[in-house]
Amino acid sequence: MKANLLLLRAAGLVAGAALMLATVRAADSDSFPTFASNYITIGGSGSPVSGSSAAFQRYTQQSVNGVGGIQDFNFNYDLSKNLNVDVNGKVLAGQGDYLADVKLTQTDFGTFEAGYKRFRTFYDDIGGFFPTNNIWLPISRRPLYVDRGKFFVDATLTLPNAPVFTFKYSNETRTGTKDTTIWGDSDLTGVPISSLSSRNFFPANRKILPAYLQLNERQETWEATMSKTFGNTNVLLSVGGDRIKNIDTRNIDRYVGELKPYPAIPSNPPSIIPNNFANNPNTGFDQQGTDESGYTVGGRVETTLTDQVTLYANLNYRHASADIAAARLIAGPMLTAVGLVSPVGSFTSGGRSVYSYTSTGKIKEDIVTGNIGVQYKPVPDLYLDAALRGEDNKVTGNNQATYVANYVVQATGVVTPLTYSAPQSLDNREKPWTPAVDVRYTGIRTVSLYGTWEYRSTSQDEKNGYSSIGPAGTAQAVSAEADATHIKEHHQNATVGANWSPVAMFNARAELFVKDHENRFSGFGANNLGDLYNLNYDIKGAKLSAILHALPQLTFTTRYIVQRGKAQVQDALGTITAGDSRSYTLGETVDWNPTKSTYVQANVNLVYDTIISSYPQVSGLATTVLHNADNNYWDGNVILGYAVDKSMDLQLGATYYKADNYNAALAAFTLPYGAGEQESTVTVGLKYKVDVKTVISAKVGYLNRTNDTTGGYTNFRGPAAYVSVEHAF
Amino acid sequence: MMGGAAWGLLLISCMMADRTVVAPPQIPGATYVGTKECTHCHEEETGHFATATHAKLAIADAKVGNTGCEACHGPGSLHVKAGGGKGTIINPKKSPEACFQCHLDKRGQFALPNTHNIYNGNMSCSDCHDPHAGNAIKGTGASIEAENETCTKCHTAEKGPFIFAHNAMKEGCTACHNPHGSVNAKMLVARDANLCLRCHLEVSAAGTLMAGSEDHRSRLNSSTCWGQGCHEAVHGSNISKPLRY
Repeated sequence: MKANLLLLRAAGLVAGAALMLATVRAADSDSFPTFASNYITIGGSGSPVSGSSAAFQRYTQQSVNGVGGIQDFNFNYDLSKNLNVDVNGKVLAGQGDYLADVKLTQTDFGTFEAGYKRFRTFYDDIGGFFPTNNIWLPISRRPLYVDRGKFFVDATLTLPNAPVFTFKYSNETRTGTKDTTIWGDSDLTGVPISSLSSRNFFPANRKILPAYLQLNERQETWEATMSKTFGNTNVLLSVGGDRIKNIDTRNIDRYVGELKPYPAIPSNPPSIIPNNFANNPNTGFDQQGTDESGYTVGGRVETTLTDQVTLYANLNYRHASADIAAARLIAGPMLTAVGLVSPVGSFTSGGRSVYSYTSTGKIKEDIVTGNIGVQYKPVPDLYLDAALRGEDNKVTGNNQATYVANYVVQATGVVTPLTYSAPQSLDNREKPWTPAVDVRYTGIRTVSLYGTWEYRSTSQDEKNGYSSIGPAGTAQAVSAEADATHIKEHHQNATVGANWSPVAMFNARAELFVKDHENRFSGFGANNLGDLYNLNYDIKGAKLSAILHALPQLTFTTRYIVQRGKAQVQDALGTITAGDSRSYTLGETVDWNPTKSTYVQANVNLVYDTIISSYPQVSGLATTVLHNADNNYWDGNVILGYAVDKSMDLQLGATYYKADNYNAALAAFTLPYGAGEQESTVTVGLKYKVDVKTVISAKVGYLNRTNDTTGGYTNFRGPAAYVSVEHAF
Repeated sequence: MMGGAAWGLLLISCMMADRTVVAPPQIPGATYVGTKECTHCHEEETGHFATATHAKLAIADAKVGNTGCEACHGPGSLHVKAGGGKGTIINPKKSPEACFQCHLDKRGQFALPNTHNIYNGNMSCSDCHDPHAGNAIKGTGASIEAENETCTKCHTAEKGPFIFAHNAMKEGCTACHNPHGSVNAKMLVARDANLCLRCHLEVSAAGTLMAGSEDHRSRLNSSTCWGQGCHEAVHGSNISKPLRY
């Protein structure tokens, strides 16, 4: 089954990779051919949907403009008795999805593979929707996408009675524009604003302005290994390197469409301020760059001492250094007596400048990691793996920032540029140790038992030098502090489980898990309340599964997962339960062959998931600020496949997804974030065998998506169609 | 929808062919041959399977069903008979359906609007999980890798190190993101400030909502903690201790 599919996302037009090809496999002699090599699949799709095309692309990961081309291609040929060439390809115009891959395999010599692949991920450029005045503030409202490209070479030399050598190289890129959840402020919410701040019981300000991130990332990696087995001992040596060059730029837009009047609206007598007079806009960008080079050397030894005992050890050393640079330049327009000025980092007397800076620096890291372990089988039914992992992690860095500010005197319009130098530094040393045990027992005929345990303890000394600026009259003040924090962490994870099959028709599995984590921050320096505290969090839960072959043609698979987590913060204010999370998931799959020519598969998942933090604990107006985070949903799909005749298969499919966590009433106090959306699809697919070398597939469907959280601005609905021809040669 | 499907079934039931079909990813006509058969050609995959997470499900009594290679790859008799080949065995790298047979919850999560796209052939479960050796969740236990490498090998901008680290990164990316899918953008486990307050919540005797030394009640009115102008650099910052980029 090939997975290169169009019209896809499970809750999108079709449910799962299996569906697109309408694969109704047959065992009989007239079964549909399966093209494993030397074939080409040409296909295309179109989706004339109405509504938000950007949302369509984001949620279906399919171009709204249609897709077409070579969906899959394979050419396999024996160049000689011992030399084989395997070529794979894909060219899907409109989707930015390409593959060219050539692999040579020579018996008793090795393999060489080189290729390039590229695929596209779609995003949209939306911000938040505010229901009180039905406000939706798209800045560009354009479809966005990011392309991932990868050129790779992979070679293996496997000469008889010689070490095995491997070499890998890859050059990966990630370019394009994507959305972010870092939204900007707006007062255009319809919530009244008084010139007397004491009358603003609930601020009008909501962060609903969309933002986007331009990516320009490249990563080169290479690795060479040599492995050789000497008697019962296998040795592997490796050396590798990497180079990362990233320049990512985030747009910053705040209070777009607003501008404070000058002279300012007086607060006495109090008056209502038009919402577009509430703040001055900020517009600019934040660009972060990294140029990192690193290398890694390592080795692994594994030796089988006896049939019962195997020892193994790994040791790695990594060194990397990175040049870091950043520029955050944000203009802050404001009105003055002589008109509009718009300098970067503007501020007025006693105010805070719009946060702008440039910086350069360097970070180095040296990491030594090793582990040693034993695999012990005292009897055939008992397996024990006990290991110890250690790490010495040292990171040092320095950064020199120059804050860019412009002091504005609104009475005259005079702008005075100012810069402030502010260094930052890091000296971090961390040594985690992790013992781990893995036990399995299969001595009971119909049961397997297992358990795992690991305990990571870390002692970390982190020293930071930090300078920043704040408001101070007609200038800005640079404050500096040196923090030395000692961090102790204890992370303990454990599982126990069993797999039970008393009869062939029934299988049951159960696993209990627990995570007990504790972080203790202590130290000295100019720390604020909140810097130093103890954090305890515990997670426990269970996974239960059952498979029942009720009839030879009917199977039920059930999975239930329950998880409960609690986090506790202890500091100068006392001890409080910071987080309380509860999650319950119930999944069911039914596979049914009502006749030998028909199958039905139905899946459903029901999820209740909520996170509670401040809501039950704070008082007064604070209770309205933040409610619990509900992440509940249910989704499911059903497919029916039929062998219509010797040459035709038919498949019907439907999917459904619903999340109902959106509460518009919260808008009075905050921005409702809960997901409230619904999505459904129906499809009909046909697959027709022209002859033993040619198969035609077609699928049509209809999809409908509504989203309350975005006020319906990202809804879309409409038909979609797909057709392909698969031909073997 | 169900009604439509039933209608379709009724419509064509009178003209069905006499062929056996099964729902994917099963292999019709194939029978189980046992893991030993697989080792003849696939030593690289089977050599360390005893250390793999999935090996713990192995049951001694083979009569109750296969719990080795064929549990995921399907019965291998046709594959063995053909001397190998792509078309006669299930390749979970090409389709997640093999994994979803047991991990039903993951099927539901990958059907959500915010997820990694594993259906278009460009990503697969095995990009993050190695079913053939060691821990299926990389970087756990005493393995030599770091847990976050699973994510940062592709998401290099979030890798760090940073001058000012966010300690949450040491808890793993999954502390804040569900890589299998979420109802929330960016696969966040919570879309609002609850995400951060789970670890940063401090409450004074007066009931103020503290995070650090400041009452954040009015700030949470307008946004998440990582909204513009606040703690945008959630993965770490080289300039700002409060993670403002």
